[in-house]
Amino acid sequence: MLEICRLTIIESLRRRLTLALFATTLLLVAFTGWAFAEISRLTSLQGVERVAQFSVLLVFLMLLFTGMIALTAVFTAAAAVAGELESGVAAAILARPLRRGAYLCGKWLGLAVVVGGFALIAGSGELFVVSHVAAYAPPEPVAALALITAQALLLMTLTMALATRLSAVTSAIVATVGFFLAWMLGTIDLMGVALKYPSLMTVGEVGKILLPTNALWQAAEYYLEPRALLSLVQGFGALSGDPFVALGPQPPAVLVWAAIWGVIVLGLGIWGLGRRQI
Amino acid sequence: MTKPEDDVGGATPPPAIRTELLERRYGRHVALHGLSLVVPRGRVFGFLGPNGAGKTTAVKLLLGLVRATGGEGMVLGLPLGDPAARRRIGYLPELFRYQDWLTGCEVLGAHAALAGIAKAQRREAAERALATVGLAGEGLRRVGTYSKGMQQRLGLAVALLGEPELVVLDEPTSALDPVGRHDVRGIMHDLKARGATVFLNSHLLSEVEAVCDEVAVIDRGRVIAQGEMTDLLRAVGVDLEVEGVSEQEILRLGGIFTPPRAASFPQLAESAVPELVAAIVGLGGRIHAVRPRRATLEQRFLDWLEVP
Ligand SMILES: Nc1ncnc2c1ncn2[C@@H]1O[C@H](COP(=O)(O)OP(=O)(O)OP(=O)(O)O)[C@@H](O)[C@H]1O
Ligand SMILES: [Mg+2]
Repeated sequence: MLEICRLTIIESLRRRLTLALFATTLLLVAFTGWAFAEISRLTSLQGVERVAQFSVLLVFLMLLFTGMIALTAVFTAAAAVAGELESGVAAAILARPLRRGAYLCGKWLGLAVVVGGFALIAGSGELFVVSHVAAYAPPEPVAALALITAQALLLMTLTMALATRLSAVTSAIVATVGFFLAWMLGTIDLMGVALKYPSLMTVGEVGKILLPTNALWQAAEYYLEPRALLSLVQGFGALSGDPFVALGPQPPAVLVWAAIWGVIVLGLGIWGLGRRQI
Repeated sequence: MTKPEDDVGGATPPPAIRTELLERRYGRHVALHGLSLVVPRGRVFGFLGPNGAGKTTAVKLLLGLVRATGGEGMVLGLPLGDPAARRRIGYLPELFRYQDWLTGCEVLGAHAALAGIAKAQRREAAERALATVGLAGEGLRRVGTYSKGMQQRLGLAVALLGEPELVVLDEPTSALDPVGRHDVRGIMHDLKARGATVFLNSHLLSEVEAVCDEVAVIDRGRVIAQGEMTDLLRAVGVDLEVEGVSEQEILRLGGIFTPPRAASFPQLAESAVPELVAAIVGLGGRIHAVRPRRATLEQRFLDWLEVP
């Protein structure tokens, strides 16, 4: 299993995936730094209004960033699993005394290092450069980054499971659609809660259970928002239902379910791979 | 044609391969139809058949890459797909592909690790395997820069790593040049000499004829012929050049006479040739030549498949 993990990491290095991720990270951080520095220079807002402005901007930035690493996770995982099965490389490897579960877990570990490393490094870079140029830092950056990374890993796991049976393109597309669908359902859920529409709430809850990626984003979002601002907003009421604001932390059950969900999906992937002809 | 022998009981190790009514269906299509085989240890076993006959399917079943939909089988005394058995098997797939972003040595190193070869011995094992397949000196190049034949040689090296007890080769010379084909024969002889069993899928009947001890032929998923190579190629029929005997006398002996002096006995077993010669001489005939009809595997193959 560790050998497969090692090979997966070498593959991402040799195929210049890591290099590309590193280069895009630099580009992203540089551009973010420039944009936040400009806004910081030009804004006339002060005090809590300034904090509110940067909070909204940062949440929006991190949402884009989340989408970016989610897509990175999807495409990396699809190519790594389906690519090897389709090309025939896996036939030689799986003829070795290696269980298919160990093969998939090894791939999972290797990809988790690449994707998770990218999410953590690029995400820290973003938060660091913002705090540096705009003197604004979210309250709990570590928790937020951990949750965003966890979301990417969940999506990676889903794509891997799909890619044990579907082609690379198909599994990537299905996982991407799933990601955006979860986001839409999450927004429906927020609206349902705000407007007290039971049918929307039910659909939102079901979506959260089927694919908890968006729930992790909402959890991360909460840790990006200054508490003072939240208490201000809460009295207001109008912002509930806004997908760019999380009013409270996600219950621990959601995080536990996300972890269980990941294990179940990886298990399904192992089962799917086990029954596949190579 | 022989039937699979019964189990050699007692202390002798189980046969390298034993399958019983092994079957694989894809939907309604039967890719392999009740394959029953016994391949004793230390033999080179040829598995022949036309395209789509089910040879690759059988190999994948043996390695556990595909699950059987019926029947059962044992490889090296263990159930199909058992990792402990796969530790002792080397495999060259029909569609050989290796990580093109690794060097040849790294591919072998990875396979050596997966095969459970101790770390200290991996390098040496890899280099020995490369040398055996004629790739010595190419090990530090990326596999992506190899030619197709070089990739197949690399695949052979992967299959030979760590001295496996059973080597399964699915058309190992499909991409090789004539020298490579010759080398592969040598490799198979060496494998046999060290007591390993070879299971060879091939369309190159001259190659099979040269190296295999035993063959099975399948067509549309069914075994249509099986036996020892020497039995299968045993001469049947003899052609003579004779003088001094009449056409009637040749006919009476079961032969056909074509003037001026050709006599053929198409049904005669090779062992009956001396009696025939004696009979003709007894009748006062003078024999100029005796030519037993030795079948080539190719002729046999076409006969079995009823190709006119
Ligand atoms: N994954 C699959 N799905 C459906 N049918 C399959 C599949 N794999 C093989 N078959 C069918 O099983 C039969 C046997 O295929 P197999 O690859 O074993 O043939 P083969 O004897 O190795 O042929 P060749 O000499 O061309 O390599 C063929 O009819 C093929 O169409
Ligand atoms: Mg084949």
